[in-house]
Amino acid sequence: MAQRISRRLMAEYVAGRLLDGDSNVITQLAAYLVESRRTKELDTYVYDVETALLAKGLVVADVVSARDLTKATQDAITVFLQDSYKADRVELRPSVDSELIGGVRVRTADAEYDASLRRQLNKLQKMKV
Amino acid sequence: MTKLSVTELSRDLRDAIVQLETTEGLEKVGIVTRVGDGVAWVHGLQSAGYSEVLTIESDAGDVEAFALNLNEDEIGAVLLGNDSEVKAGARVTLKGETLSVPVGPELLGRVVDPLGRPLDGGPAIKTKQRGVVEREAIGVMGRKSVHEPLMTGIVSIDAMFPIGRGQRELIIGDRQTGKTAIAIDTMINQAKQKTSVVNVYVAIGQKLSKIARLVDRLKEEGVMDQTIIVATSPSDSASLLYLAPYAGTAMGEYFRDNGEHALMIYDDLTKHAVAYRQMSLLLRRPPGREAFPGDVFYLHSRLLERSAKLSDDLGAGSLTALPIIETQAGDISAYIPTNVISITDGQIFLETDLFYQGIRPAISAGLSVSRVGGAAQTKAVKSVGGNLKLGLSQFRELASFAQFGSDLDDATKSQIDRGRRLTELLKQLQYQPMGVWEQFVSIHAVTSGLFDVVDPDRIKEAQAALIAKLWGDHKAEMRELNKGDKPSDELVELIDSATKSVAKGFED
Repeated sequence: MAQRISRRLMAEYVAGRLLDGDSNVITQLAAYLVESRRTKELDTYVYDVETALLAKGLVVADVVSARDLTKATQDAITVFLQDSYKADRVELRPSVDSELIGGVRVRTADAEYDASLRRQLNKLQKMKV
Repeated sequence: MTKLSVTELSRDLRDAIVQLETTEGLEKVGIVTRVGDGVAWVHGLQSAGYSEVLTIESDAGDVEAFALNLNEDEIGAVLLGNDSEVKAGARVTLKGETLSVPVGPELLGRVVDPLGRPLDGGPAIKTKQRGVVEREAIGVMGRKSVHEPLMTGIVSIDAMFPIGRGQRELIIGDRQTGKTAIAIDTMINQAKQKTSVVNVYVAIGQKLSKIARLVDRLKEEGVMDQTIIVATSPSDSASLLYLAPYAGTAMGEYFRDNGEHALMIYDDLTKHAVAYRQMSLLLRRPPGREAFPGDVFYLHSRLLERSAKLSDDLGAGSLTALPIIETQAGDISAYIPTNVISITDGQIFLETDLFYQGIRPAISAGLSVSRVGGAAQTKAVKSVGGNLKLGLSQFRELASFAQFGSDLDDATKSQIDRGRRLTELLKQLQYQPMGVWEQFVSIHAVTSGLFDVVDPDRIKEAQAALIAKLWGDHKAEMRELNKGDKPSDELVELIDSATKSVAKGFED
């Protein structure tokens, strides 16, 4: 019986190959997930690869805001993440979600910075002020 | 109703916003990948510690869990709330602390769950301190040998298997043999004898109706004011049943660490082991003997090791433990019973046969033992109860032989007669614990031979008459004797003469 490969080890391998510029590794990972019937773990694999990239100095972050962010704000987020992780490179994946009402939510592989109005209102609601 | 002040509302709102804005920076988060049977599997949060509390966000509010499996790829966390509220994909954050419960005198008289939330319909519990649920036991240098008695009020225990403060004495037996009754009587005795020992009764998976009856009884006996009840019912999650004894111990430790004395009753650890087995199997830990996980011994040893008599430097407080174990068909060699027997400082074994013969408490003199209590026995009881255990064991052996024939020599006959009287004497009704003086005069009356003229069937009657006479005629002397010191020769003579006069009234 084939030994089940640790997700973290696999993610570290994929992250290393991606940083070396080998995009074929994505196809290989997809084939592995299909073959080993682990496609349901796709999201966790993505998180693990991003965590491995993080350890290698590349931060990939989802940035969600209520409306389009200006270049200045995106630069400020990039600097914030660079400082927080002591990272060499930061890549942002911006998107818009009006449900946030205002502010911004930044999510990396292992952490989150939620400065959205929605979250603050939720917190207030929980505190029953 | 207070008048609503718009100025204050505005100020409170601003303060709350300022507090929210102080939570700057990146917060470590994970997500729930799957959930079921009270266990959530979390991806991320690589910095989580063992037993650390996690907060899982849900539509119905935050649900807490504690991390028990720290795997390479994920965390297995046991939920403290309802698992139906937690959805896959939910955001999980670290609380940054291990589980703790409120501790302090504010808990006295209350019925709480293992998280310290009130179950008695009373007001919210506000304590000044919190105690860590999983705490390391005190070290060697912080301890002192057990030397003070913890009177149960049950003659057969105090005379034959004395329990000291800081001791762990197991109560073991089949179902319906009176295990809980012994624990309750001990609690009641602490109030009757005004020992100021705090009782902490931990009900693990007990029926709520039984707990309600217990609370009523303790209130009736005036014991509830010095008692804390940590209650879990069979409908509670396995995680709460698992936590209950640790939470109760944290509450008891508060009193121990403040120079006071507390008595822990774990009713019962069999159900606790079963709850832990359920959790372990759901967390996919490898099953061992009887499907229990490999660390089931450590589960109970680390719990019971927290019971101790502290050194004078640490305030000389104590935490005594009476764990209860339920056996199946009297089999004390099963896995969990042998584990707990080896951990504790002795056991009181209750036999079904004795129970149905009407010998209650149904304590087996041969299989019960107290390994450290001898040093803690009151001198008064020790002076009369010295060879009680041996005599009773010999009697039960002789009695079983005597069934086969009537040709017995006089010495054997008298030994059997004395044994029958002793057996009758040691029968004791529930909720009627006895003080030191009552125990002394009762045992002395039989072992000295002064009650030899009394028919064994009338021993209890004669005992009651003797106690009533001595209390009526010599209250001051009996109060003195109740302090536990060895009685003077004059006092023994006084008791002897009272015993003789009572015995005369019961002669055939």
